Amino acid sequence: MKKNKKLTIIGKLSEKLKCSLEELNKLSEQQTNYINYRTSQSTFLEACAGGGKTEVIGLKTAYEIKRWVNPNGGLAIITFTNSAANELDNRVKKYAGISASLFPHFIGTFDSWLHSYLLQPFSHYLTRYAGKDGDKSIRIILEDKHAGFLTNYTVNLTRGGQSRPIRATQYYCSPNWDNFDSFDEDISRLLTSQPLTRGEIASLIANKKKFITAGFATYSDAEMVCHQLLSAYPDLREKISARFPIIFIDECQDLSHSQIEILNILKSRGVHLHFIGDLHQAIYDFRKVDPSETRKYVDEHQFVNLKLTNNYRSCQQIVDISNTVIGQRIRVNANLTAISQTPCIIWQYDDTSFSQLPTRFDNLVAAHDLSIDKCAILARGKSTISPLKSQSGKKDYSKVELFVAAIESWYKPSRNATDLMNALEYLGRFFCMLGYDGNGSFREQYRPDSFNNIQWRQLLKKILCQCVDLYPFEENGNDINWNSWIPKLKTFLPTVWHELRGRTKEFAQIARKIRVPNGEGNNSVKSALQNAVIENRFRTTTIHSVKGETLDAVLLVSHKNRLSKGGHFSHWLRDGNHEEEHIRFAYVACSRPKHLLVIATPVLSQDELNRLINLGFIYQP
Amino acid sequence: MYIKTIKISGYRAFNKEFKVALNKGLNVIVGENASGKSTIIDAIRLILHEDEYSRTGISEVDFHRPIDTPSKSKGADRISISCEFNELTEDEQVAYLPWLDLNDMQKAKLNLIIENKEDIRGNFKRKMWGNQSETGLFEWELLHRINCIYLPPLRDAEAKLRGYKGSRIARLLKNLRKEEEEDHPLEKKFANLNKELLRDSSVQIANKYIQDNIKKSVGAVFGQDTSLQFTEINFDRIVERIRLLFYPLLPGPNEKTEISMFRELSENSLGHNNILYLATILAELEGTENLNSFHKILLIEEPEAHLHPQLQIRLLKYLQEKSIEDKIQIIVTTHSPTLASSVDLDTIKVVTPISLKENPIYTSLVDCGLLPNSKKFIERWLDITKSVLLFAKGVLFVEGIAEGLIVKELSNKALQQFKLEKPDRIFHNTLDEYGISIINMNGIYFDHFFPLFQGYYKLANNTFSPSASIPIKCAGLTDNDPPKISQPTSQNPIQGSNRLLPLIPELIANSQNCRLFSNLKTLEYDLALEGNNLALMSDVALSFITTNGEIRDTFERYIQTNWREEEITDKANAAYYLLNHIDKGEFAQELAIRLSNPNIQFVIPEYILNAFKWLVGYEEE
Repeated sequence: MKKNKKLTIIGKLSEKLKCSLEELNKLSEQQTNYINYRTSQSTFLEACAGGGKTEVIGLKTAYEIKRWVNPNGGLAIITFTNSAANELDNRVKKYAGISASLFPHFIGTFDSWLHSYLLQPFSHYLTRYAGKDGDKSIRIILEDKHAGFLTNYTVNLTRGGQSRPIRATQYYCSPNWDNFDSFDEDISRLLTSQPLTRGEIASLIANKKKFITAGFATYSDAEMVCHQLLSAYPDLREKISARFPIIFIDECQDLSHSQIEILNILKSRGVHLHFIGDLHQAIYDFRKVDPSETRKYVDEHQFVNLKLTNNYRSCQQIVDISNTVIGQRIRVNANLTAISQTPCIIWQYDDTSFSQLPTRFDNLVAAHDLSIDKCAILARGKSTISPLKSQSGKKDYSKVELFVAAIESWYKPSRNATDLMNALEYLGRFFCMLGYDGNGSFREQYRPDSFNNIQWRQLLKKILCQCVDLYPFEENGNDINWNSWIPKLKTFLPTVWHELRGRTKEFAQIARKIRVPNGEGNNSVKSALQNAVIENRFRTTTIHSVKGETLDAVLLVSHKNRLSKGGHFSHWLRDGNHEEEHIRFAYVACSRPKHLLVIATPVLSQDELNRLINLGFIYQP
Repeated sequence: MYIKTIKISGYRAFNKEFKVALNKGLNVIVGENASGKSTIIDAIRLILHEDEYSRTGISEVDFHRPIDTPSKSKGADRISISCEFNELTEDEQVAYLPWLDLNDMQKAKLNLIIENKEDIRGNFKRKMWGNQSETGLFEWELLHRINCIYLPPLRDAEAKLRGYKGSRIARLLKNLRKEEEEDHPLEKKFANLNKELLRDSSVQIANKYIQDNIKKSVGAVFGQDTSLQFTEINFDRIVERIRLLFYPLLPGPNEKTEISMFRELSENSLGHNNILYLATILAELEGTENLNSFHKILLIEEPEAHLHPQLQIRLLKYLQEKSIEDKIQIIVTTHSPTLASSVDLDTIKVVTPISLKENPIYTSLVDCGLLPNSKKFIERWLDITKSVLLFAKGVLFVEGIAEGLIVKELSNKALQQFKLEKPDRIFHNTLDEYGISIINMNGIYFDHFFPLFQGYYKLANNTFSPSASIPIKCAGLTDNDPPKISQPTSQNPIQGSNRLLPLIPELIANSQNCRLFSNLKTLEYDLALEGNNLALMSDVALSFITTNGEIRDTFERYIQTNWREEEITDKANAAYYLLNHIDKGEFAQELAIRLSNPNIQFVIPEYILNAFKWLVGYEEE
């Protein structure tokens, strides 16, 4: 009976979609059931890691698009990263057999959706932003941006007798202007540890309003403004709801409180929400995303709860370990045959063997005949990753060091594409910080507004070519030290400064910033460029950046210090408490690989080691 | 929805912002040559991406260059066109959401900017956006849903109606095709026909010859197989081969024109081909009724081309009906007084050039503050000869045919007189050279016509408010009309009964371009009081007297009198006598003939001179 139902659905799908019957036949009952499920009711599809979620959303939305009749309104299919959006867009177009535009449907990130249909077209009605040359677009400023003009939008809070300046970008408000917080932990503490006085609230609001009225907004401000727009303009609310009567949210565990509130306004106007995701994979705590809010929301609004509980990605051992991490008691079936007798491995490292981890991983991967492109070395934080990276690691250079790094990348004999990009980016950043008050876009080599991107890159190149006398960092055959090199730089810079069109600072105004790094006077300039050389051919990155991916093998590196915030293995495998974010991090990392999961920890006590072995890991000394 | 306004700047003749107001349905733009009518049409095509005649490609000459700069100078920095739509339906509001005005969601705005800067490929940078924010997603589908068709002047209708790729007929058939249809029945029929034809022995033989020759020339290894085929069997190719034929008569009821009777369009008249062409286009617009097109706009330049007047009128009436029936916004430019006189006055827009340095002035007659009965009056009254007032550079209204004839001759004399009075000024020889038309209203209907020119309207409380107006000089000559038996003189004027006399001071106080001039009694009476005019006029009167008697004697005496020497009361008496003994019509004709002799001396009454002075700007520096 059930079998028949699945066949009927597959038959329907194959009529509408460009997808072979063979492919469709591979779908599980849970998957076909979801694809066929009515959209006229809000649903929450809980998809376990490796549950084939992306494929299912692709088929589901393509199927709805093919059946769609309303020419004016369409589906909004929302993701949280551009790469996820592109991936989904490709799939939907492939299945639906549409090559051009999907209009009236939308596929993209939450921000791009919100900005395209609400923020950019309408925010000026609310903010009264007067616009620039008739253009009333809002300029998005990143929260961590520290540009000169932001000093105009600063509030001072006095705490413990000290005045603390807070930029408009560093805090956010609730739509009713009654709640203030920050993504920066220090500022968050300032704002929330004790009640704000009336005067403080007033100045925080006034400062934020001033910032927004001048045509700026952070991503959080954008959400607040959109929320306010929807509240203030009932007609707009109706039209947006009619424009997107059905909204799919992929990775719904990443929805922030304010995003849920915006969706809720639309839901109250008849929009049907379709959440898809895995609350165990919520790792946006730093954006104050709490997956329990999503859970609460779908429960309170009685979403139909559907599930994908089969894992199609990893072998059974890896699936089991991942589930242990999150305390999942119901067994999840793996559909992949293991290629290794020992898919889950523990390694220990000390200070000397740490740098050998990539090589060791390389050997393991090679022994299993896996492709390096599909393997990755992961850690929670950048402090663990950076020393593992080969030279591609970008150090946090000071201003003059940026210049040094730029010409080093430019002139070095074996310059490759990355070096070229780095040279331009470093030098761009150098001039952006010194000549333009930091007002530039990082995507385009910190280009200031007065240049188009081609002109800017050409200028940077021209200046780099003129630096021949500053490189190599040697003098009379010896390495030159900072004390001798800085004067050379100080002579060189004024000769090119006039090329910086539209600059906000003359060289004389910043000359004092071109100085020897503290205490480095007698050290060689080259020393600024030296990193521990590590042989590492793997993609080495944070857990964040592999979210949603499928990999062949993963080396998950624990922080060496137990006190690190959630980066130490012991935080990942705590008994009992499964609500902490570290655990979700570990879950995301562990559930990526198909075949091999290696955890590298600092040297463990026998007890600790035994616990891991009991979980199913094999210890390899 | 419909286009409510277009604002154009930097494009061709338009330097500063030029605003074009349009209404739903039919719009008829009239104006003299080079007034900017075609530029308006091209601006609409540019912003709506209508490119059938590939004129949307911009070249450097399209950027406005002031007339006092060299022809090779760079031109305006940018072309900017913005288009405001009004009365969007609920559905349209949903679809066009990012273009909407939040304060009035029935309004939407589309903007285009083309920068006067060529990239390496010689293209000018363009930017399009909705409403007031340039940033964000631009949904091109929304633009493509506006179905805009353009018909150029003197079009080669015959060529357009032939069968070729992209022909009108092909477009019509393609538009009518349902999207879902996989195989069009035409395709099947053609495929069968093909098979049938190929069985014909002559085709078989020909093919065999070809194959034999291939084999002989390149051998069996390299040889290729061939097949002869009659015609393409794909739908697009089929419809591209379809062409239109005609037969000069429509079939009667229950009759059908034999296929063999139809003729090639090259045998048809230019005018009829134009009508056929227009019919296919209207069919196309009608055919798209149920498709996703929101706004249908038809741009026609000079539809009068090749059509005789009755056909012009019939065509325009039809367009007007169609525009209402099928909700098509039709914008027509014309030089034809026939067309101008045959449509609803509210549809007429007048473009008046002011000087080469300034934008022309655009006047919607609907904004001139015409009272409903004035509008009805003018519509009834406006015929081909009178509709020239819409094309004139100045208008002189007179009350009757007699005035029309005499005033025309007087104007020539007045202009000669002006030349003598102001030798350093240039005066033309005739009012025609000024582009000033003398228009006979057959009555005192100044109050109906002046609103088109006066630039203000009267409110209920007898105060005045500015309004739109056609910006040309306008004057009226009207008779004072005191009691019939009265004999007023300049020393002893008598209050007339002309109800429009209060208009004289009202215009002086409120109008920039419009004046009314009046006399002592009537035109002939006032003429007779001047200089020795009575002698000439008596001579004219005498030429109609066929009998001897008192009248003849009196006139003969009048001819002999030197009226310059006579008492004014005697003159008034004689003028009164003359007026009682002539037929006004034949008298005016004869007088006009006499006055056309440049050697005849005749004194022009002050009020008429003042009217001429007003029209030619005698007092202006």
